[in-house]
Amino acid sequence: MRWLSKYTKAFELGFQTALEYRANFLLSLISAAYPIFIQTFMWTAIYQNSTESVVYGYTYRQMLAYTFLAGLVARIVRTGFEYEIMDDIKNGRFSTFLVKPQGYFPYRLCSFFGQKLPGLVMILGIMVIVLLSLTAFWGVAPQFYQVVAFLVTLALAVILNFLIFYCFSSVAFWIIEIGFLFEGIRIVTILLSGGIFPLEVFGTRFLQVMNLLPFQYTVSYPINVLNGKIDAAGIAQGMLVQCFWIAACWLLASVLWRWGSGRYVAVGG
Amino acid sequence: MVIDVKHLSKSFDYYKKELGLKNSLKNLFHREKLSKEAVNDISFQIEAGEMVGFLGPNGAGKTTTLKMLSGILHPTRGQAKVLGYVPWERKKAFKMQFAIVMGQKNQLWWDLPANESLFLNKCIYEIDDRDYQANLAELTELLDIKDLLNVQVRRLSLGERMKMELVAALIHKPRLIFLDEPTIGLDILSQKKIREFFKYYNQQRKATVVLTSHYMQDVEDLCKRAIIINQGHIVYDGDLHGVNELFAHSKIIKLQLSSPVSQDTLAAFGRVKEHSDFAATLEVPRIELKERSKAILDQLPVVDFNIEDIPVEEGIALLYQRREAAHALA
Repeated sequence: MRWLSKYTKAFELGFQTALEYRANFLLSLISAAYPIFIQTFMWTAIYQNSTESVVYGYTYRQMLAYTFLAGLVARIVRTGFEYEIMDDIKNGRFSTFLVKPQGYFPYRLCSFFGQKLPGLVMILGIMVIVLLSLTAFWGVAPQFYQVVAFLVTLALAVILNFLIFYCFSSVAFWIIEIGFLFEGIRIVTILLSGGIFPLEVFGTRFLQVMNLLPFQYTVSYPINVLNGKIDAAGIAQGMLVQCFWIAACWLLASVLWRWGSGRYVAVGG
Repeated sequence: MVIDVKHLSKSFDYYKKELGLKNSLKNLFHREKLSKEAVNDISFQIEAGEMVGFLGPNGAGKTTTLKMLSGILHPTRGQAKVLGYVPWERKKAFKMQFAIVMGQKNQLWWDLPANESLFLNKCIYEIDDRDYQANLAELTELLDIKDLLNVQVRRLSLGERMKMELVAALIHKPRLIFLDEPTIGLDILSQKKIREFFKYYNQQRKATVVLTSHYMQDVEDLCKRAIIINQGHIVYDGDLHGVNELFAHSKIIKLQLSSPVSQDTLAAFGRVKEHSDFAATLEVPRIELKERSKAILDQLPVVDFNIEDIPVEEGIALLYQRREAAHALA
């Protein structure tokens, strides 16, 4: 079991690093709340001026519930290690990993989950409060099986998003300075994953295209599991699709990384 | 034999960019691809327990060579065997036995105390608890940083951080150590401390050490053998002080004077290298040393008089120039 300890230790160090920056994390939570407020006002205005009570298949309450949950889920699956990877490659620090008897991918994965954990616990706590208040004020309680299924799909969603961004981060082997590219990719993927609006807002043709891509399985799908938009059969099918995309992205990542690290030039003294 | 290098070469592609905005715009659409031979057909061998200095000006190919020997880079041509392995195959058994310290790269976690990163290395190199504790105690004692293990790395000074990096690199008792500018940016005292440490370490552990440095003092203190590399070629491989024998036809005479002497007067006795009111340094041909010394003592107001060899640094600088001159002619 000794080989395992190198990864549990990486996890632990990631965890400690996250705790080191508590204030930063709290600020990021506040900044996450900001767009949620804006959207709440926006949807309130839209529903008040609409002649129908159901817009894009969502009632006003469902829409607000979606907005809250999407803000939180998007925050949970969010990565951030892509900037570290870019730095490692750009400044040649990737070399210090190449000479060690340890894989870069499992190391990044463990450290990422370690860094994720404190925030995850906190956001799940907030989510419980949101769900309890929704139940108390609006009387919409999710079923027990929906909550369990939600947690499973959420875990898969975190892994999937990690892999998607691990693929994107390999671009750093070809293009040196890609900070803005990452920012662009992040905004687009958040939109495509349903992290801002429900995907129905964009229309059926868009949805058809989205069904062929992995993004909605990181945010939109877990929320739809929780809010009851998807039945039990649909939940199981969705999980299978998530697993398929995880396998596909993992394959793609390993191909891209093998190809890219062959190009690595280890700059600097 | 620990390292066996045969005809190793590495070339990099890069893009040419001429000065100015116009060329920058032109570069957006068309880039002229050029190739630079960073290391060009070098061969050498290093035996177990040796301490070898790799010298050369910036961009000579020292670091590129170390990167190939540690498996970070693939060579363009040629072969190398390090500890019996082909380094760029990156076998685990190979990685467990060597370490590379790069003065400008750090492996320690910035926001955490160094002992956390050290423990991570313990796990990565699968060191058992007792060995780890003993080795950690010895290394931190030698480098005098025992009290700093619990301080966050970002709060350490540059010198302290470098020492921690060394502990991190040596915690698995590597048989072979590559040091790439380990003392860069450090003050004289820290440099000295680190040199003493490696001297001791090499003697105690019988580890093979390959060192690159800009600081001549590093190499002079530590290495008997020097490999001097310039523009990707090996220009000298042998005893460090043997460099001077290449230039043995000259000697240096240092003078202290009781009254000022003009440069023109001094020039009659030898080539004036340095000159101030009460001191001068002259270079004279070795065969005429005796006569010139006598003439200087007879004719000049000499207070103190010293005969020295050409400093190693200058010898090496001359070597570079010789190589470049040969290159220019070719």
